[in-house]
Amino acid sequence: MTACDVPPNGMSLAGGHAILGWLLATLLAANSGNALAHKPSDAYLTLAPQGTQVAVRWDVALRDLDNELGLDVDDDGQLTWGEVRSRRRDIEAFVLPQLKVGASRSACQIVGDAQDRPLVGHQLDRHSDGTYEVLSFAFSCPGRITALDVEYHLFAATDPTHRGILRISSPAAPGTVIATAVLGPDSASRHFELFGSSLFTTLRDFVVEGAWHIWLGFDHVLFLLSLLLPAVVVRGGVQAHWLGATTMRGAAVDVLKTVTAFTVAHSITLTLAVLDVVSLPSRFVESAIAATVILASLNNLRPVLRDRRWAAAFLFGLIHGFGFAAALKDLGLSPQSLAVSLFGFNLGVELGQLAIVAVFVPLAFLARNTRFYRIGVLGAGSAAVAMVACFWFVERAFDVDLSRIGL
Amino acid sequence: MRRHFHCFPGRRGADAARVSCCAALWRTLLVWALLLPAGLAHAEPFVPDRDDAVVERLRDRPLDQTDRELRRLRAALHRAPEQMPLAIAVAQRCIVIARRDGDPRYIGYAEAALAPWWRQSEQPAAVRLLKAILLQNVHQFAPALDELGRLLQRDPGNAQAWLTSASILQVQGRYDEAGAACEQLRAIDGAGSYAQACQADLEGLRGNPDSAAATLQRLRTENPGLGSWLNLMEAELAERRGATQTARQRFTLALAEQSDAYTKGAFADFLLDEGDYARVIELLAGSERSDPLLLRLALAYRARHDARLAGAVSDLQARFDAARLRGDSVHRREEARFELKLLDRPERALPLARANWDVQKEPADMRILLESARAAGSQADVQAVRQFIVRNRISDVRLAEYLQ
Repeated sequence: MTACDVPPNGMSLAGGHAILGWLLATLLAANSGNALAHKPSDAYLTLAPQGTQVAVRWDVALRDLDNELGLDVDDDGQLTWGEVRSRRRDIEAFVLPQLKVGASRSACQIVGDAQDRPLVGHQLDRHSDGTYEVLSFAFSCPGRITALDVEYHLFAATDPTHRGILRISSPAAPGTVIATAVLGPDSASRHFELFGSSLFTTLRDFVVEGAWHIWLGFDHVLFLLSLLLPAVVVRGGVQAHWLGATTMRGAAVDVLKTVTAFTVAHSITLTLAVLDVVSLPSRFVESAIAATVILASLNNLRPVLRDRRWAAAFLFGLIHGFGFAAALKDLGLSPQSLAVSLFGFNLGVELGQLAIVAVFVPLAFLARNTRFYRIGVLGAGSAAVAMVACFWFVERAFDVDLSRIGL
Repeated sequence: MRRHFHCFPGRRGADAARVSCCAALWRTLLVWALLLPAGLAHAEPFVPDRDDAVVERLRDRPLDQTDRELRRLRAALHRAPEQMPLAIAVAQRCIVIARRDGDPRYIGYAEAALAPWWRQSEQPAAVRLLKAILLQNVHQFAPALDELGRLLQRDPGNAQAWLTSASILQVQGRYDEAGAACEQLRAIDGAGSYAQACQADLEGLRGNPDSAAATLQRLRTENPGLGSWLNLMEAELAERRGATQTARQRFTLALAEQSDAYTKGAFADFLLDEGDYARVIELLAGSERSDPLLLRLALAYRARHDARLAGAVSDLQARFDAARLRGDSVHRREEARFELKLLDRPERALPLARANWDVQKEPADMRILLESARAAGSQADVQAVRQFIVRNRISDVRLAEYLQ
């Protein structure tokens, strides 16, 4: 006998209170203060964004999946691995559409196989209240992920008390949780900025991004080095050969003038471009940057600018600034932290640049009087840089991939 | 008294202090030893190597008639979700099962069945009543009373609504208002016995335990159909009066008629007080999925130095952690008891017992706050509860030692 079958003898069930009978057995005052005994339905969702992808681990209770999909085919009150495994396509078809992920305002797609079926790993894990199905898959997003929009509707139609316990890990340090949230019918959609909400973390993140950009962007490094190679030597003698500069001071002043001019110039255009005051097509900018590398290295083989390399650094630096701006915009900028992001990125670029200078200049100064430096590095090195930059120029200006045609 | 872990407090009075201090250190180590497996328990995901490996047990008991009815009704409701009588029938059965098994998922299923009407401002009376009961079940006492108030304004003859109101008000310690709600039942045709039981329960709690016991006994002979309900009421009243023989007998009767999670938990508490730990372990075997019952099992394990204690403690810790992640606060009474009685951390138990006391004021709530406050040395909390007990003339032998 269960509570709802108990006929409350001596009670008239007629009239407007027919419900009275079925609940009474447990309606005592003493009952109300007692919490329901079991853990309610939770699912554990972990999102790990990295680059343009989001790796997902989603732990969903087998008990809940059974309630929804009837996994216990033989109805013996026990689930076997076979019963679960044979229904994995149904589980995917039901569960996956309940989660939508967007990055920087555009929707991400679940990564699929050749037939466009979602690629999903199925495992099990034991939680304190039972066994959970562990679904592992990934979303692919249109661009680098700097912010995530998460929309969660799992079991919303059958159990409004279900909650999704969400953890988001840091793109910079996977494994470190940077955001948590409880998702349910009243809080189904949430937005997360991944690059720190505090000004300090934003600044730090963008400084790191700026430094990485200068190190990984070979065109900027080669341009700078091409301008710096001649700083430790002077053109002298009757046949106008390169000679080692006599003092470190002279070399340092030259380096300082060049680097400062480059910095001031690219800071100006970086700012103007990020603020959308000036905008240039990226194909033009990228080709022009390659052209600046060609000109800077050719100048070492047949000097035109001589003591006014700082002027070239300034002029060409203006073009490089547009390139930095494109990289910064790809990282995604929020209007609130624009100033900090811009400042941080620029600072990172300068720090990265300084690190290169700090390593290069002393070595070059020590080697300045050797034939190896004057012929091998300054001569052959500049020629090699010019050739590489020529390839870049052709590739970028004419939108072809030279490596494909055997070059 | 604050607990410090310097084992060598200095020259003066050193020995006694050193002994209690080392006991404290030892207890801390014990807590760590108990909790360590909780951290390690979360192993890597796995794939069973055989298809016939059982990976989950879905039911603690075989399917019964209510379960089968619910299945049939839910399937029908799925085809016609706007059919209110069907939705109400589903919600009612879900509430019965939620209470029987202590499974909050069924509270969610009930809410889902009522979804088409859940947010309407003008709800049908039957839906509003169920909504109030669902809110009561998740300890949303104020919103539940609000729904009941609106319902009773339109339909003052709704006996179930008065009874539910009385129940919530009593838990909140608003005894006069609870009594008034019981009184309203008297005028309703056919609800007379409920009115008497409702009043007797309140009187038994507040200074008239003997006459209340007599009333309940009379009602039981007059209304055999109310057996399990009255048995439980009588058992708890006998427990408060210190009539342990009667209490044990009534609990046994109640359990035979209705072995739900609440009855088991109440009986287990009685047995723990009696020191009958073996019976607790026997009674609750197989109920480990229920947090409050696992807590009582762990208390019995501890008393009997049972090896299963460590596993039970780490499971409980994991479940309280999971509830915290979710933002739930309905388990504070249980968690306070866990901290105080199993982990010996009164300084952690006290804030939980206090927060629980702000929400509900049953004898069990008084007791855990008194115990935590005494162990943590907070005279102010002891005094506050003592005043409440005296002012409301609460009679319960288990609280007597705190009143001197």
